Amino acid sequence: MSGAVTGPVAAARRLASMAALGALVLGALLVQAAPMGPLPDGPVPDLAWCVLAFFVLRRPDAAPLGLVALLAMLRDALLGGPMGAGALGVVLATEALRWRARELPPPRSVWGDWVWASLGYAGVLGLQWLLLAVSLGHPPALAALGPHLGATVLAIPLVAGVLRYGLRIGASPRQEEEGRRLPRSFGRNAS
Amino acid sequence: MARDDGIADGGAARTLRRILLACLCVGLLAVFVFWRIDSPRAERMRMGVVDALGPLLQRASGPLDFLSEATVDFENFVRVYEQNDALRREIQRLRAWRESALQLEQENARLRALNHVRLAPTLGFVTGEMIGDSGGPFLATGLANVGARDGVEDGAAVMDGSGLVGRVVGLGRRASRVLYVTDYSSRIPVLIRPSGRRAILSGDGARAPRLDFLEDPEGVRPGDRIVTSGDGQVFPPDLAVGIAVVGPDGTPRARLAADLERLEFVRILRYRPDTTIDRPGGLIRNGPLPDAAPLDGEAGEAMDGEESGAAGEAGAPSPEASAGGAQSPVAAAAR
Repeated sequence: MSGAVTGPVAAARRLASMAALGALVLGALLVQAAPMGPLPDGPVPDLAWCVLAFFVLRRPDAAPLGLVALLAMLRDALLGGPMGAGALGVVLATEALRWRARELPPPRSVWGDWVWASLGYAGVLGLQWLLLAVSLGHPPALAALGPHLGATVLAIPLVAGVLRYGLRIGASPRQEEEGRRLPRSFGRNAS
Repeated sequence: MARDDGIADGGAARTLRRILLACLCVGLLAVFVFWRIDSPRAERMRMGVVDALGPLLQRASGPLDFLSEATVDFENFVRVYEQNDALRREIQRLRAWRESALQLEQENARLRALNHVRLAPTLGFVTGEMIGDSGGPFLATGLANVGARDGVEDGAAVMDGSGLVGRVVGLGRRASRVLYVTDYSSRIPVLIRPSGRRAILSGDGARAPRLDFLEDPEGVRPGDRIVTSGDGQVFPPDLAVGIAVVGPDGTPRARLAADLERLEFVRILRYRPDTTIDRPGGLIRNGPLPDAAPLDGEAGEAMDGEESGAAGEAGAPSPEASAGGAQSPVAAAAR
């Protein structure tokens, strides 16, 4: 975590992390929206959600509420889903993940994070479906959401792995534990 | 006070954050309500974002296009001999069709010349490339790289080389969003040939959309051709949609002629419906006929004048105008 440094350096790092989040979500949206042409037709995982969930759980300082809402609106605009409903679901689900990150500081179970991120996405889909049904729209059959949810659940650890080990974002549980074992002056709260 | 993980810790900050979250939720809910109430305006706003990101989207789809093309190339390479044989047979078959088509075209031209047929205005179209797909399960849409500056209009029919793909539901300057016929909210009036029965093609997320409100389903056989009926004046009539099939659940469905999974280029039609007849002509009175209407010159002229005036008030062209300046047959007969 970036807690060891404060002042302008920390602020600059935080801004850089936020910019990285924005760029990564935008990239994920572009990949998600790109037509796959003759590639086999199948459910497309929500890569933008995977990135957002990873940041909120592992780098919550880089994913403030306003930025998450902005990116969620961008997601709705680009992917063409029910406008506002998707963003609302993402904001509420990320707040649930943020609550977990606050209540259970690292080191945390990676499996637990995976389950929470998956449940959060199920909530995002469920809320969109519910709002469409309540507003007399044309919600898809619930069974049609299953493959999409499954693909996203499978994609979460893959995206997390790429972000953590490929792009070196966030800290692994082991590193967090090592950081905690260090003396106070070298640990998380050192200035 | 804020913690090192960016989560507000103090009482006041936490309260402020909760208020902000509540405001955001209400705002987003309001956006959703706005989208439901005034979808076209919301779509225009959405297309503004897509317009701004269009070039980026096109650039991002390049490497993925390359990947998909490489997959197809590999498949083709594996089946090259088989495909070669199939293509030879196809060429032979098409040569025979070409001869028939040429003969039919000449015959058509002769018949039109004999009959002085006035053909319906030719459909214009603009061709664009699909640059985006909806990545979610809630909407089956795609993004084409042509928009209002290319003459695309909201609601325009979209086709690929073989059949109907959908319609434009969001229009930006440089891009347009196409709602596929398989989407849950897509409803298109269609005609089934040769029986001439009408139905509504309803998307339900499946590859083969349902045929709802079908008149006398027994009269429709699998393999019957489905075309747009032109009802509602949104789509031109006689656009190929697909063929009738029986779905796994026993319902009549349409196997689409368009290949939605391999959409690369689409044609967006520019269609303006021809003159519609939506009211009686100037010769037909709406009210009761007078008991003894003398059919002399004065009466004829008076009646003609009355009707013209009524039509003029309603904003419709007068009978004289619609007949190209010719006098009404009643008036002519009276004279």
